[in-house]
Amino acid sequence: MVFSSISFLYYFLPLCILCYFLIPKKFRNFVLLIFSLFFYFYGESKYIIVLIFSCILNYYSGKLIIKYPMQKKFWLIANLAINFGLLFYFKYFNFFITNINALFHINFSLFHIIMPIGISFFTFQATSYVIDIYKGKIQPAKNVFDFATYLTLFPQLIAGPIVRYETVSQEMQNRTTSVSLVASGLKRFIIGLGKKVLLANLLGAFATSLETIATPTILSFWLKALAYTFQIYYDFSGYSDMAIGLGLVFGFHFLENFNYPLIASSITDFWRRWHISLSTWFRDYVYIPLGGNRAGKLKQMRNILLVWLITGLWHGASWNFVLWGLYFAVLLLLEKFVWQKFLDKHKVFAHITTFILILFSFIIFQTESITGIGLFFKNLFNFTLPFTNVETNFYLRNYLVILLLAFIGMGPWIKNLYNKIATSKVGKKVLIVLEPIGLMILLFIITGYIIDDSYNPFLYFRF
Amino acid sequence: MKDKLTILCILGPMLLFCILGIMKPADELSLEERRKLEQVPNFSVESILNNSYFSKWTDYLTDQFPYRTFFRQLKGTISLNLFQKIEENNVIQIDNSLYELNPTINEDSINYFTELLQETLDKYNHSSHVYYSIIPDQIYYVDDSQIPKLDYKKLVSQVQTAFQNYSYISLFEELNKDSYYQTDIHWKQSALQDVVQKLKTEMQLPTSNYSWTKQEVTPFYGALKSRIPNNIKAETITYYTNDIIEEASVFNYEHQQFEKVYQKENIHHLDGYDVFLSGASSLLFIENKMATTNRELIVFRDSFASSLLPLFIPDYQKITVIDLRYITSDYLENVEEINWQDTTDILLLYSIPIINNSFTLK
Repeated sequence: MVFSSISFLYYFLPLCILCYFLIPKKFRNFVLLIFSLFFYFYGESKYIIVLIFSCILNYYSGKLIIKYPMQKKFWLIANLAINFGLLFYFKYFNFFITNINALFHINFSLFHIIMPIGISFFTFQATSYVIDIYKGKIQPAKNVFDFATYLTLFPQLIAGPIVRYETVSQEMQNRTTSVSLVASGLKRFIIGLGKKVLLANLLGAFATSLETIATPTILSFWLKALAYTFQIYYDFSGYSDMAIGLGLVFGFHFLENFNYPLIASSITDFWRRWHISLSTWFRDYVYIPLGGNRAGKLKQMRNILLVWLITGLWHGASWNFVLWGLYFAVLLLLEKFVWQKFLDKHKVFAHITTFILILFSFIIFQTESITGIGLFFKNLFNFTLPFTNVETNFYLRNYLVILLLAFIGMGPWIKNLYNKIATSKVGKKVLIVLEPIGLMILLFIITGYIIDDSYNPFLYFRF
Repeated sequence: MKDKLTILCILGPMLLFCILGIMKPADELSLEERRKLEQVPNFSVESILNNSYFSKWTDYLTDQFPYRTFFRQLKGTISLNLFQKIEENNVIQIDNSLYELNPTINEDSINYFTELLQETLDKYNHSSHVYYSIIPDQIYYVDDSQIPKLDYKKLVSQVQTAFQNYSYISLFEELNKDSYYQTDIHWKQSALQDVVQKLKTEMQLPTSNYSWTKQEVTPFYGALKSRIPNNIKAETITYYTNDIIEEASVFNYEHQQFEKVYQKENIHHLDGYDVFLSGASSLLFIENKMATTNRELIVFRDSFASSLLPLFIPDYQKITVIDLRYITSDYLENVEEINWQDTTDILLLYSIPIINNSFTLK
């Protein structure tokens, strides 16, 4: 089930919230577990088995590590082998076979494998739980149901953020809910939904329009790169907002996952602001265990390259993601060892170049074939193409306001303005009524957009 | 206070629409959108395993959402007024008319179209003279250099190159933007005098002076009407008839029954254009019972021909109307009623949106 659907917004969510608050506190985790399993079953029915298996495997792995401290390394390795084995099978097996075939000119058949939604997220959450128990950082969950509630918690189940058990272990046992938390959670959820439905989806439509124009132009390629970048940002950060908001409704405090990454002043800064739960996961569970920056420059370079290679692969089983990861590795190395000081001195230049480098990164991210990536970059500077034409101008005019909103939303300016109004005497009073009504109108507008997405004109069938 | 109001304003509508949605009986059709709405899906283990069961539930709940029309209109209004979009659902409004955008040429589709028709004619045609016409979409006539349009010359040239053995009759000069309905993609029969004249001249049909009676049927809401918010009023379908047409018989091969040339009551169908020749039909045989000629015509066509062909009934003894979207060209060899041998003329009459998106032809 996806958040931006009528089934979720008007059936699943209100019924879940209603049940959650009507039922005594001690059964609330159980309510969340049942709803979360149904949430997954609704979208990915047969793979509910994989999710349940992951819950059982990781809960009992944690127990075994505690029960047999002398053999805890064995249990950890066995657990990681099964977790990453499953992830490899579902996500990377066919990619691996394809490359083996290409490398050795052989012809192994590919398997018909459909990847369970969210497997990358719940595998990383589960392994962080087991590793943290191994390191003695956390105590295991009280029982398998509590652990399953944590792992399957529907707000963050299929698209993150990657919530570590240490973040919510206290709240799994004892959390407080309040009117204020529910209200701010719902507000955050609606804003995230707006980012997804009103910005990301429309920017996606903009990119698609530009993809299908009869005569591409230099401007159309730049606009497409811009639309891709904004689409991915608003899609993903919108989803994180919704997850964090829903967490608050049920009394959980998930950590922030995005912090205005598109206004970063360097690539290092960008990765401190973009998908924070993933970059910190790699930092804590891969980069630092490999030695981080404490074992000399050469090893640090190796570690950075390795971490970013895996980060790229985490995003998908395709060479463009590998290239995407390595692209960032090279940029991070250059910043670390060559031009960080220069960037620190020239802030405006740093922001602009970082934005352009991010734009380029999402061309790699979105374009599956390596030749396609090369062609895209070539066309950005292909002066044999017209700079613009009627079609490009038409679609630019058509999506101009959305594009401007996307630009405004990439920084904290709206939030700052809101805070200024909210702290003023008059603003505070006005917002008491205006803000809830504004959120309701936003919900209705989003509903209209979700409903009209199902619009399937009869014309195309019969004409 | 603000927090309570926030919860009320967000959770309140969610719960309210949840209850309304559960209580509301399912609608079968959306006349506005001209389509059937999703119904409660049938349960089966297979549908669960292939994820189609819940996917259909999502479609059902979206299709049957209470006040669906209001929400669609709200979206359209926000899109055009707040986001200042020029098009909505790929439709633009200029003055008081709606136009569908279709600016990208699809060369594969044009090739498929010409190859399919060539193969069909190579297989069936004995010695009839083959004519073909391309009907431009109405946006061709919009005089605005800011609106993206198809490369019409390229499309026509590609078809002409493939159809070198057939006679091309250009209709581009015989139409203008008022030849089409304001809210529909189709042309108006009442605006086809020049088109009819051009076709008759090029097909060497004898000049005739039949008298015609004008008839009107209303309200007609075109296919583009509900795709973009607009205040365009309901239109009127005007058609021309006479004794010959009233006496003519139309045999619908698919329904295995005789029908009328014009069926006024079809204005209330999902597609009001069904007034002409019963709308979408795979194979029709129109017989002129008052014919003074033994000429026969076979037409390969799309929906545009439905309103044009009645005006040709007096000129032929029999017109066979084939729509390859609903019948395969291979199947035609099983239909004994098609008189390939004695047919005088064959006309290929297709509109640009179909030529440019021809994979529905079989």
